[in-house]
Amino acid sequence: MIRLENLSKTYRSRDRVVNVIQNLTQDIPAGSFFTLLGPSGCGKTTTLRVIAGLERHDAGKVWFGDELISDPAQGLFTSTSQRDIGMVFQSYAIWPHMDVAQNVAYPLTTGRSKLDRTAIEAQVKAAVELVGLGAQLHAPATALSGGQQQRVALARALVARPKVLLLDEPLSNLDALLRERMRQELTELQKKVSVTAVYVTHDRAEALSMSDYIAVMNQGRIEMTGSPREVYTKPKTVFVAQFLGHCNFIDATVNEMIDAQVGVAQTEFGFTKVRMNALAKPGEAIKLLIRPEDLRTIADDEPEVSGKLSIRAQLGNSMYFGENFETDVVAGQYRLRYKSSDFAGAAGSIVRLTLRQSECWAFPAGAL
Amino acid sequence: MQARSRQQAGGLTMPRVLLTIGFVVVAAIVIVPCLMLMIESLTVTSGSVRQATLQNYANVLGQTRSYELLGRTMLFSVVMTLCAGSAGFLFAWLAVRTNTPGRRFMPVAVLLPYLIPPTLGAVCWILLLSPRNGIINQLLSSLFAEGVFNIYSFTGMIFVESLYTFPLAFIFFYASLSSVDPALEEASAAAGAGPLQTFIKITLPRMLPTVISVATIIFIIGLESFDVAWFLGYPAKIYILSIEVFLLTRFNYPSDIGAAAVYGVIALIAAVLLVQLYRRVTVDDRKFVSITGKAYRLGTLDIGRFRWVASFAFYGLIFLIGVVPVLLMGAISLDAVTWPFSLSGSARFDNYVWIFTDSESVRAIWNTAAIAFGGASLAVAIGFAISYVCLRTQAKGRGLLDYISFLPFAFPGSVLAIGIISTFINSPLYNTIWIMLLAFCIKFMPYSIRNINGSIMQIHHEMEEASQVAGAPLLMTIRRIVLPLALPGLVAAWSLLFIVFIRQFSLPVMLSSPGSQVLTIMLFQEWDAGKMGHVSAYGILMVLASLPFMIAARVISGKKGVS
Repeated sequence: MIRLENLSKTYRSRDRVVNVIQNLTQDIPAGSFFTLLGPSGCGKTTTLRVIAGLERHDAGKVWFGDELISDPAQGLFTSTSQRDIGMVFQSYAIWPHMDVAQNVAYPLTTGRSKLDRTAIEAQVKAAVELVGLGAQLHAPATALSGGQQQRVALARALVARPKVLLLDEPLSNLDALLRERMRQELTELQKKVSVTAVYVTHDRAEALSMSDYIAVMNQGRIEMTGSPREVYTKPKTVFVAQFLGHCNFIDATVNEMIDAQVGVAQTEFGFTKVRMNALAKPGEAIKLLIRPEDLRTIADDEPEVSGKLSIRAQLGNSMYFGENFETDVVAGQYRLRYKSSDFAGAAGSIVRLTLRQSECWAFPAGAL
Repeated sequence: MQARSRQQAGGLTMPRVLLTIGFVVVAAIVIVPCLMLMIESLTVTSGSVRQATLQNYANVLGQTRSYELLGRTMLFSVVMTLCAGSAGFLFAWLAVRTNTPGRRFMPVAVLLPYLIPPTLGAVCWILLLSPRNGIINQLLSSLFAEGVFNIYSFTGMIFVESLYTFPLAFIFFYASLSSVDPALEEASAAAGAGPLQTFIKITLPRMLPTVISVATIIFIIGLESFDVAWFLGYPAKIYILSIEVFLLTRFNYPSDIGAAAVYGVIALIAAVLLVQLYRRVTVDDRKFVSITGKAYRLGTLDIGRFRWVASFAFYGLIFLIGVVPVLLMGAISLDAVTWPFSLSGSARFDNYVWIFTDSESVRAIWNTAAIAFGGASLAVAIGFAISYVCLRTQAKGRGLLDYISFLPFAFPGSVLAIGIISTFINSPLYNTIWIMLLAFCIKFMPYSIRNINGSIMQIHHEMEEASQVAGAPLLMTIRRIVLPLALPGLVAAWSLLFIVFIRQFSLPVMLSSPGSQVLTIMLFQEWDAGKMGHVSAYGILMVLASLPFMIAARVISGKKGVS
């Protein structure tokens, strides 16, 4: 539905040049919930604003379907007001001099769509009810709570039934409980109205839980695009791996190859099956990616299994998070973190750890 | 979905159109008078022939008197800046950071002297401190020799000018001090620094940009001071630049516009340098100076018994400069007090009847009203357009527009008037009230823009972007989103301009003619004729006319934080 082709944008100030977007190409499928995820300053918001036409890019093309929306090379730029989009802003941008209905009705009364009064009223009512604010239809905007403003912003963005919905960190100003509830509501709503949603966030939990696709951005580039499971379990780059969660890395050498991507690797803790984007030749050094939740303790009476890691480790400090514990351990030269549902044991005691799954993801040693 | 044309050429966009209009307007009203001023300084006219010459410069720069004049102008401004600035800073600091009683009311009370037009302030202090008849001098004459104080002096000029500039310094410093997070100072205290160390190492460096920018503003006010210098300095033949320019153009016979223009060019150069300094200082400063919405709680540094002294000094000063003139003028205007000072014991409204029936006076009242209403509206409209273009569009050249539109800030009114006279002398506008209206707009455009900047900056840019996303083109976004949200600020700016326009003296004194007189000119005429009753009635009229607008501006800016 949306296609970004070789997008570039550079900010020049007196003393420095920042390449905000560097030669970015991405297809965003129609009807999908597509998330741009990355640290602040990675260019995700700028990319979103370029899609909205709120900022101009220096080079590259933006397509909505088969319609070319913007291409500086041809001097082509469709202004924001002419683009078929809805947008939810980080600050919500609810106009304080209008009530809820006026805010929501605005996109229907400003020219892009020409409707008669009764149709506008019906559509506004439907949109406000869709976000569950039917009772507040004529409440002044200033009387709304943060969560309610968020819903008004959503209703306003959807009321004209745009094909594209852009969301710029819309949940970041809500408190934790509300934020979790809105994640659910937002995705349900997006599927219900079947709009193509482009969502910007730096919160990996939001990205993982809401998206159909995640594009992880870093320094103006997309490092990887994939489903939430793919970016989490099979990160293309170390940056992606680290941005999505804590990483334990263990040195290994490739022992044998099973196919192009899968092989067996040897570590100082034993053998394990590994998977990589492109497996190195036997004898080459790699790094295993082990997430804290991939590790579990081996009971004393549990027999050792060949082909599985067995890591003898000394327990360090434990942190309690309510649903689980995270414990730092020292195993040989490594400092590892692992997650357990029960308290792992007093600091200083010795445990044996192994992998929960049969294979683990790996990077070439040079990638780190 | 209906088909529509989506593509739009990159060339002619709305911001560019606005910018172009802005440039044309600003160039016409700022650049042209400046150029005319320079032309006047470089030419002499004999008959109807204009000839290029450096004679004017030779004349002015060849006299010792000119250097004395410039030196005196500088000294006047510097000393005034020191007096008004340090008083303003001291009291603002007391109000924001200490437990001085009545500190919460100080920023309101300080507006009281604001209501007194400077012309009136000067007149009032003459009544109090003129050597022979001044009330205070009369009281003291029983104790000391006659005429202890002489208000008709250089010291007198500085004294009165400082008194009426101090509230401005207070307001600036108060806003700036209260936007400094006290946590910065508390962190210093927690680190073991005493109050004095904290003040020197934390507060002062943090305030330094504000101190310099406020000092620059006050200095500029000193340079362009006219009212006080005229009423107090002229009788004693103590002239500063703005007065000299007026005398050369309108008072002396034969007039010497060439020499006046040379002084004008000197003032222009000083103005450009000062504006440069001011902008350089405020470029980093602007962010936190303009954010007035965030009010930190007032600190409560205990200053012991001194707090009563501080409170008494502040409110005593306010009473002296804000209340005494009104009481005195009120009494004289009702003939309850006659001049030289004696009580009559009865009150009459004759003076008010006169100012509202005398045909010349009525005309001046209508003229003033027309100029104040029309001028404030025009200045707000132009100010809004320029402010919006400079702050909210990416249009190239907006920096230059911002710069040029700020220049008149530092022009003395009499200097600007020369440029305006030369520009319009052959147009039908000349000698009408419309030329004054225009002159007021030019002179006070920077005030208008700065006031409006604040209210536009408060509007989150996403408010506008949400409108664009909803399909509204720029003009509709401005009309339906920006204007309604900026409206309180625009009304406040309009009110302040209205007040300033009622009392403006230096431009009318250069530009008015029989038929296009305004209140301040009438006040001056009656003063010259010794009619103190009429003078006082005009003064009270100006104060009363300003009052509702002052309250409106105050109420509006008090509850700005809408969203």
